Amino acid sequence: MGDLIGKSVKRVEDNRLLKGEGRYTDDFNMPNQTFAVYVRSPHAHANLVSVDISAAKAMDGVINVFTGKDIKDAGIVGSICGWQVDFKNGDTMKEPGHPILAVDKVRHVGDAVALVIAEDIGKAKDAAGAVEVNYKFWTQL
Amino acid sequence: MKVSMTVNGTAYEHDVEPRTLLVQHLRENMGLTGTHVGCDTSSCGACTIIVNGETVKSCTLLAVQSDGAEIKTIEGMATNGELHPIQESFREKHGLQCGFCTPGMVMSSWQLLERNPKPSEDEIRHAIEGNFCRCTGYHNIVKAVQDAATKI
Repeated sequence: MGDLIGKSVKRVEDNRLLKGEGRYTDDFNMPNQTFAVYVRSPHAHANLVSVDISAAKAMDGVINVFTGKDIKDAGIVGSICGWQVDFKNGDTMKEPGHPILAVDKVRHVGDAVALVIAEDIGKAKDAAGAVEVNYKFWTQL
Repeated sequence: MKVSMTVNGTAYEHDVEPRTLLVQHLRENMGLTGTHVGCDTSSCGACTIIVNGETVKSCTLLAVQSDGAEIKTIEGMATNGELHPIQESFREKHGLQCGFCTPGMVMSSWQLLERNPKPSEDEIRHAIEGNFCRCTGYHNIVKAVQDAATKI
């Protein structure tokens, strides 16, 4: 260890990363693996009038399709802040909801509206394209 | 559809769905997972490979468009386990951290040095502008390419 201090040390992982031999999560498959694709909002600010997943759900190879309402009804809360900091006066930090899938309203382009789980990525993408979303647009903020 | 191509000197023939992207074809059908998909939108350059001597973002090409092509990927850069001088320079100059963008960076650098063996810093930065590094490593990547230019 003593002879490493103050020296430029070569990293042990670089050789495989430079040769394309890394193993990132997308580089390997697991038994019974399934694939998820999100249906995302093309609008910055809109109400979700309806999200129809029936056609997508009926497609070949589709395991399930979820909407924001499904997630909410299942009692799954949104992503939480991992580091709540209280105000000096003792008030708790005001944390807006961060739903995993949008409920009633989308708030940015790319906001996730539905989640498709299928046997392979192609089937998941096809089914995501078959989710019918009706938006009522609002002015962008 | 039947598609055949030579990748890193090996001939491959596969039956692929017409919509298969070249990068998917390399990764899923040939198992060459060194070429990465970073963005799926041709922005990040992690999927950069050499097709018939020119760098291409392989998520912008269909596998069927590459029928008959001569392809080189990051797996084809080293010779008998020995790093290519560009790879060696990335290692020496700490031109990588997580390594996800590295294959694309190496391929773009290879193309640059093929065309311009003694590039200026500006020319290097221009040549890799289609490759994003999110570990904030551009400075050392530029140093790595400058170093490689002295070795090739």
